[in-house]
Amino acid sequence: MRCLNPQCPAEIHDSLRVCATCGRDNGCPNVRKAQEPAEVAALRNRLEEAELRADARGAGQNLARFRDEVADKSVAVLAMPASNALPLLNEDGQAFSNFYRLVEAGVRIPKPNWYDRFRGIADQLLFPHYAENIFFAALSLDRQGSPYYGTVSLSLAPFAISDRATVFESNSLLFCRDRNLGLQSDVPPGYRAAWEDRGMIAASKLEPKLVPDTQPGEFSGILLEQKPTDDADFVEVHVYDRITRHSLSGVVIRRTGDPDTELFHALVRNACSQKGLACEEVA
Amino acid sequence: MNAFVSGQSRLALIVDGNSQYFVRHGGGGVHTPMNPLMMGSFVDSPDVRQFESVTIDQVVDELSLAVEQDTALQFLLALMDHVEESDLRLKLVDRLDELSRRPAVGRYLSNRLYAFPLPESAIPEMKTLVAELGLAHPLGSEILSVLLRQSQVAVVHGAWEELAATRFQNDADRYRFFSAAVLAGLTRAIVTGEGQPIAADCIPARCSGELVDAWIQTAFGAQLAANSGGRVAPRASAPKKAKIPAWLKVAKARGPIRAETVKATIAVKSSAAERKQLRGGL
Repeated sequence: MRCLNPQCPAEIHDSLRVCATCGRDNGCPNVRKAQEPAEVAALRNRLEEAELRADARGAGQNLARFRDEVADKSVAVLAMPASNALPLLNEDGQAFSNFYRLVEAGVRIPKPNWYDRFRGIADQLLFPHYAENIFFAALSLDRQGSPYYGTVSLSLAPFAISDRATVFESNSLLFCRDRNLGLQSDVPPGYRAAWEDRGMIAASKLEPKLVPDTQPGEFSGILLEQKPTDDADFVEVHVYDRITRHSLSGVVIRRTGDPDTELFHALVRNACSQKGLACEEVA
Repeated sequence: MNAFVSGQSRLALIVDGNSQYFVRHGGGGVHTPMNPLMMGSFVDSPDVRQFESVTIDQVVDELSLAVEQDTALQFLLALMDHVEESDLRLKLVDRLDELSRRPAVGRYLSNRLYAFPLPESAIPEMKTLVAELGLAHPLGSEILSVLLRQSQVAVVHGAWEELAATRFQNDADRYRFFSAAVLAGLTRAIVTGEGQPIAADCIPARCSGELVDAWIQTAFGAQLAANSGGRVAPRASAPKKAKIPAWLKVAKARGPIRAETVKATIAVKSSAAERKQLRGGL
């Protein structure tokens, strides 16, 4: 695409955010991709089809409610063990680095084989040449992530991500693997959306789970499965670039019976209190 | 099979031929396939360690130890930062006492404590902790040793910084070497001069022996210069005879830690005068 600076003649590569010629911010590559006309049109088609199906079985109103609720109230969450959350909450300077940045820096762990086989393919399909800048989270209505990943859920503040986050149908790795996507077949359009359109993705995907008597209280469990297993389904959030403690809007702690974990939880509560971060506990 | 183990993330990543999966601590040996959300949590942990040619049982054992080490370290760091709530502080000290009695956990904490000079704000908290644990406790006496050697810790760390600036092409190599040196007990050994077994495989081979020698030489050189006034401002007057501070007297008087002992200490600390005394200077 052409640089957004009208005076700049440069072409911006799909993977770049900042124009190398004039320094103009051209928006995050994942957001630009999700806003491409083909992606938007395909998602609208999916949604229209979902609405027709829902209407046919009398669940149309519920689908519209669900879509609106996700669009208005859903947040990106990171669920993790309390032992992981505590250092992040305590250290102002610690950024939530992602796997690629660390591999690139060679700091933590070497690139394992699965990178090439699964993760690498999924990411190169979804984020060609900029996977190292993508950070993963899940979309949630009740600010809780899947319990499988840990007892502490950190919510990302909308102000911190709304211009750089996109949403994707599901676990991107499984999405690509289950559809045998790769060099010969790209990710089909209509399965990703800009942050403000996250309600469309959720409604298109989860329409079959909505029935005429679905109650609004059930929406959060439909959007993000709360089962404590590794196959819990969710809408994946892709955030471009780094996230720090200041990007957080709140913390939810899920109580456990484990004494060490509860001590960590007490420290997490303390850290939240010191940093002025909302912290809620659930059973 | 090879494994990467992180106590902080409570995960081990197993690489077994073409199979790669996670093992979760306390997860009953459940194997979890790769997942972006889980991977993020894993790689953000600063304590990932690699193990080669290990069995699944060994991985589970290493993960269990790594979790205890991380728990003890994080509780110690929390106590350094000052925990206002006395009941929570009591529980943390109690659990730290328990965990650090396991030699591999105590050694891990000790090696970490010698890596960097303690921040000024942590010193009063560490003195209080020594008083709470007592000098008969291995961690209590180790923290005392660290407190008394802060100037040497600073010299050794300064020597590392000076040397590393000229020896490493990038921050990653520098970080990797330093982390390995800390975990292997090298920083502790240089500061204390006490021989400690150093696992050779913990130090990256390509820059081990010669660099370690250079580090020790630089540290000794810096220490000599400091002693002769070359690096630090000379004392205005002759050093006074060391006076045993109040917090140390309390620590010396303590036997092995018991819940009542800690409660008593907390209770004593609630008295403003005693609290001030406990936090007196070295």
